Amino acid sequence: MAKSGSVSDPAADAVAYLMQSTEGWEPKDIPASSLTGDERQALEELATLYLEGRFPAAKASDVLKNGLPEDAAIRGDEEVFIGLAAAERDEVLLNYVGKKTIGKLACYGCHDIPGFEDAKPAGAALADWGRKDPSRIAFEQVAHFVMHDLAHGKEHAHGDEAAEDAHHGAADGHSGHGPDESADHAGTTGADSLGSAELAYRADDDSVHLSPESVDPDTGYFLEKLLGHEREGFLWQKLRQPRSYDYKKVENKSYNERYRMPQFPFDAKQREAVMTFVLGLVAEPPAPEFVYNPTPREQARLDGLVVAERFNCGGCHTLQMDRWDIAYEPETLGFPNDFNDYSFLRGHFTPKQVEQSLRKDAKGRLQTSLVGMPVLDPETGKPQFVDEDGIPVEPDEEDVVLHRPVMLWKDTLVDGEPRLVGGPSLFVPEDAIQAGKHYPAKGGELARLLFPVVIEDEREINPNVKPDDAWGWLPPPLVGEGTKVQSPWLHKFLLNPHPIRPAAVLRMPKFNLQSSQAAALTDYFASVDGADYPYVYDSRLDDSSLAEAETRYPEHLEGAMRIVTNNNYCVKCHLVGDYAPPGNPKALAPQLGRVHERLRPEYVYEWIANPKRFLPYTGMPVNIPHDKPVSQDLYVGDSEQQVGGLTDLLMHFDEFAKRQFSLDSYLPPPAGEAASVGQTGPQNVASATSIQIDSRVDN
Amino acid sequence: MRCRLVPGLIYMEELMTSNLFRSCLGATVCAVLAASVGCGAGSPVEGPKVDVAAATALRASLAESSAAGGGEAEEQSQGTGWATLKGSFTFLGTPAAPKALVVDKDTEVCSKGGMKLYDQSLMVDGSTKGLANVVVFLRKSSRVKAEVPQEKLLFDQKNCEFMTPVFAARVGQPVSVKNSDPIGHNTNISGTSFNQLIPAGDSTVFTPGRETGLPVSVTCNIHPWMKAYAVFREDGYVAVSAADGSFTIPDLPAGEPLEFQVWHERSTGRSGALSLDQPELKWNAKGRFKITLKENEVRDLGALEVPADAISG
Repeated sequence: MAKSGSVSDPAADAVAYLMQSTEGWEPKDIPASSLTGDERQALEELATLYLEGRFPAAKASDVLKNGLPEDAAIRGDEEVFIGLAAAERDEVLLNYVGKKTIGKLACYGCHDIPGFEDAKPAGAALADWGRKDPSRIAFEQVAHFVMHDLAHGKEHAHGDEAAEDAHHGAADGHSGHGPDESADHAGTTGADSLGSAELAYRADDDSVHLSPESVDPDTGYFLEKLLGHEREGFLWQKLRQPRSYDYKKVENKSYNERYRMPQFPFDAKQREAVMTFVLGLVAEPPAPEFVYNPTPREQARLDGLVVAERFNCGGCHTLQMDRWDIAYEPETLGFPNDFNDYSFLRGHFTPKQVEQSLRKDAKGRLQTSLVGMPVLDPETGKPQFVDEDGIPVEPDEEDVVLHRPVMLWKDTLVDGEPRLVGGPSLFVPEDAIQAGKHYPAKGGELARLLFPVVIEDEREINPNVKPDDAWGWLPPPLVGEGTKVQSPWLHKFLLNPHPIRPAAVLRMPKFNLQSSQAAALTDYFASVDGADYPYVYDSRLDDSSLAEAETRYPEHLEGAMRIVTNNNYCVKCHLVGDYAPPGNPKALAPQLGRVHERLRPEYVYEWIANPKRFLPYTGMPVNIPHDKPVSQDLYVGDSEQQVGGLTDLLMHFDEFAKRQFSLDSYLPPPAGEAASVGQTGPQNVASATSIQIDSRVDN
Repeated sequence: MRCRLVPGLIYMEELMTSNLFRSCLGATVCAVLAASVGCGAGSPVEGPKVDVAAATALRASLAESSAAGGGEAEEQSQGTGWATLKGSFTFLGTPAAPKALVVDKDTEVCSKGGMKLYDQSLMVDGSTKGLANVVVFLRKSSRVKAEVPQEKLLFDQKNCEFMTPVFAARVGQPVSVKNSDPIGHNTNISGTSFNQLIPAGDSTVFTPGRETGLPVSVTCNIHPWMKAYAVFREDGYVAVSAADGSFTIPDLPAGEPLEFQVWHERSTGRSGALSLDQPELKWNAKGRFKITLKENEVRDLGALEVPADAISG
């Protein structure tokens, strides 16, 4: 980060770091920038092969030559052939063949490849293979192959040699065996090396017959099962020589239709172990009463967690705060402050909860649950310890009663009294923590790691930096995100992130999520916070609701806009439309013109009333104290009405902006009035823009 | 929380580290352990003996303290009368010129006429070498002479800086947080829930609800260079050294040991604890010293010299 306060580029930093770690590495065998003639011919042939799987041969040839017309109703991989003539042909074909090949070889089975998230598995489902109806198993001509194989004494080769062959096969890539190429390996053992010549009909094949009794007992057992078309026999041979099931089938199969399962280097014992497992997969459905049947909300939470895990959302963001279930001596956690705020911000607890909070255990201790963040040392970034006076101490310091300061993120009861989010940190005695249980936070490691770093950086510019402010520059905790943001906005944001907080030192990257993944995450946040989703109705967003408010309070939106633009309030820090306050970016706050897309009305209303109740570390002050409304010159009304006015303005900002806009200056003047345009045009514009902000800076 | 103990156990209360043995249970265990140790080395090993009298007294004491409110008991006063403590901090080093702060907002007010704002974290009197803004406060008091004053303290901000870089108030005493500037400021007091916008020329009242262990920061998020410190004490036994380094704390409880905490923003001690080489005061690395004052005594600690290496930067 530069001293000017400019934001660094983490991607560039990462690239610079990675490029430094080559240790003399030089690229070798770099493909030429353009294809050779042979390569191009091979590419065309491969493309033809895949196209013929989709179209008749003549059509495939035509598509390859001329591409597909713009209006072609084609979906799938072949879409790339639309507009082929105008595109870079080699690039289109390489993309097409590459994608088809990845699909054929099922590379996505092991590797995470964008675009193949929903691709089908390469093999058959094994979950209930152990009870699969044998009549549905394709034994093909494998019995003939095995008899032929055994009769010619190849069974003995299925040891190390076969394994070695399998390795070769895997290394070569099993798709690389063209008919001619595989003929070279016809004499070797191992199903992976079976080529067209071995798999094709031969005149003497059917003459071979072998009885199960004539071979060793194990082989005989499985041979008998194979001849009897039983699962054990099929599986045995499938693991020995997977592609032997193409025996005498290749004449009717295209190259791409052949079996693709590689031959794994199992010995007989390992093969039997795998068979035992697979045959045991009978997928007996559990009794319905034991089947987990989550509620839709719980299902949304689970689905979202999968996506959050996959994209490591928790690497940067805290998804769940620390929780301490503690047992404490009464009145050892300090005393509550008097509640002196808007009534709707009061903590809500049932009489039963209060009663439970006052119930002592056998040792005379009370129990409570604290959800929040440990206060971190601004220099080390490690959780702070303090003594009973709140003075920081070392964790191994003697002669002090260790306490841990906790910044609450959820209202709780201590000694039967509410402790609210946004109040002073609680100093929790270490013995109270030890007597209970700690559930660590989920996620947020990077934010915690960077906490002391950004403070140190900022200190170079501003020696008076306040440590708590640093949380506002880091990836924010996403606790409460569901009740905070509108689901459609979050879905869109996840697909295409954009800067929100000017003060942030890191920008959220684009993860190339699929829409369904973004939806899963969106629903996750709403579900864990108990918010409505995916569709939310809030009357405050209705035009009729706004009209009613404007009837009740004259100049409802105009008054609110006067508060926003007054030099005491919002524009001190917030971007508003095309206005950006000057100064250190660390002191800038999000664009108010986009709040109506992003935030839920109820959240905005309560947030304006007291931001700390929702984000305990925020630097945003209470602008309209509950007992001291802002000047009536700006908005006529009490504090709650003024908060309501601001909320309505922010949630209808687009509507308000439209009202300020007039087309008059763009329209040709009516006939006969042209002469007066010079005077009236600019006046109209000036009067339409009744609210002026002095300083205009590009965002 | 401290237990009210029977006279025979007071020795244990003093002997053991008070913080570790503040619970009644802890004190009870101490008593039992003391009885065991008292058997003496070399004497025949005997089983524990029941001391009915001690147990009865202990039970009575516990019942009494429990009735008084869950084991809580008032701090026992050991002395009578009142006394005064005074002194003066002098800085032995040569302070570097204060750094100019980066003022990049509302410059028409904050940098009016080319005015510059400077870091006020180290203020040393040029002639007396007095060190200002050192906080001295009593850690625990058994009794308090004066009621909580209800007249408002003034905490003002003008020209985009806090007029009082370090201010002290008593818990419950109203503080008028004023903004003398023609632009808005917010006053964000750490360790409290107070963070209010104070419009131009306006003020609001903040009443500290609980005491602070050490001074806490007061900032303005709109103008990030603005910073001050505040310290709130239940008993009001707190002083901030003046520009000449002097301080006075009157009406302290006399006749009993008092422990003071000393703090300065730039101290190299942990979290600002200011440690001085004053063995007679048992001044430790945590910036604390102990003293017992006599009734009506005015104890002048004289010049308390702060070496250059005790202050960072």
